[in-house]
Amino acid sequence: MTLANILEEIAEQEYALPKAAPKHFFSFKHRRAMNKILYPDNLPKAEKKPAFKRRAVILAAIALLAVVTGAVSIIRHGGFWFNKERIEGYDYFIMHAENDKNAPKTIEKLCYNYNLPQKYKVLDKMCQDHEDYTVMYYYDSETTSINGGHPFVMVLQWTKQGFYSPVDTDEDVVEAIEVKGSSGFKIVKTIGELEYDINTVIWDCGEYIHVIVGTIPMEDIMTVIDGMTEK
Amino acid sequence: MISAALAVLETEERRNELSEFYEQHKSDLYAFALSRTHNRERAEDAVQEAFLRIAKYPEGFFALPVHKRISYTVIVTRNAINDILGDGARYSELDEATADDGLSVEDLSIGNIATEELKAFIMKMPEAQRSAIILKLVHGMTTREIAAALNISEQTARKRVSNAYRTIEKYLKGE
Repeated sequence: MTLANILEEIAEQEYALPKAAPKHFFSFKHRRAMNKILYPDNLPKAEKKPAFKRRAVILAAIALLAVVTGAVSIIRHGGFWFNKERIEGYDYFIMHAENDKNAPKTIEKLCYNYNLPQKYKVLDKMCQDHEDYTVMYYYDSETTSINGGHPFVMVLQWTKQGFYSPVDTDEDVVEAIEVKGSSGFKIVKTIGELEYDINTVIWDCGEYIHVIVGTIPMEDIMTVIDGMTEK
Repeated sequence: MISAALAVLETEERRNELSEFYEQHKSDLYAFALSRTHNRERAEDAVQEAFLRIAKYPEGFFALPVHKRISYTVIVTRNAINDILGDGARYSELDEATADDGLSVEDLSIGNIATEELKAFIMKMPEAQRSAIILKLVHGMTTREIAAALNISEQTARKRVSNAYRTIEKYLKGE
């Protein structure tokens, strides 16, 4: 054995990483800094705010819809419509579902078996049943946030007539997508003082509107959606 | 500083490779840093600083075989931790400054020294010397690359390697 061999053994032992360390949910500050280091010219959409105030930017496969304040009051896309409202001094676009006379007026059944990965545990006290929606609240038991809490994800099912979702023109980036063969939207809310994004996926599941929202990464939300099976 | 580092990751292939490496090991590196800093924010900063240093001089990282990149990154991270905690000042390498006379590892014969005894001795060496000699001999890094990884001057890097050689040489000679 040579000295170099000995040093190599020492390096492997001393400078090894812990095995199977728990997954850590990095803060927004860290993720933004790492994006700059690794991808300086191509920051992911979550890092970019709309280039102009008071506009909802909806990126569709076909066209970019830009709404100038006052020029258009309602826009429609893929079974949803948006109207502009001013709430407490801020402009919002409120997302609604298109009127469907045949859609149930209350939650009569659940569309999906959720089948979330095992690490997501239900927090019963946060789960609710309401006339217009149901919500199941899960937290990621294997990941801790920088504040010591856990990332969460909520699964909501809305009636079409009761559904609404405000879109903040300053904080949200909205993208039209297809979810389980239906039209939907992906929304990333970036709030400067928070250390995480709030990610949302909304889609029309036929009789109801489904919403997945949480502080888990968007790719994890898509994993949750992929695991959901129709009842 | 960041913009200068960014320019070095010129090709998309390199960026993807480093990004994949980061994604694969970020939680482990964070856990390692947290075990030493006992502070979540500092642990994240240490991981970030480590990758910034790697991105600044990536040639050394990409020249390494894949299985050696972990130990290299851990050394860089540990050094970043020391800087964050302000522990870098305790390495008084200047006190034992020696000229670099071109001594190489091949000149050091282990002889009859038991391997485990030598390992134990090297583990007791100052970490500054140990990490420098490992970067030099195990990872094949130049003085410039060692300096970048440890965020020290090239002169200091050279001295740390030289002092490590001298320390091991004295032990092997029974001095």
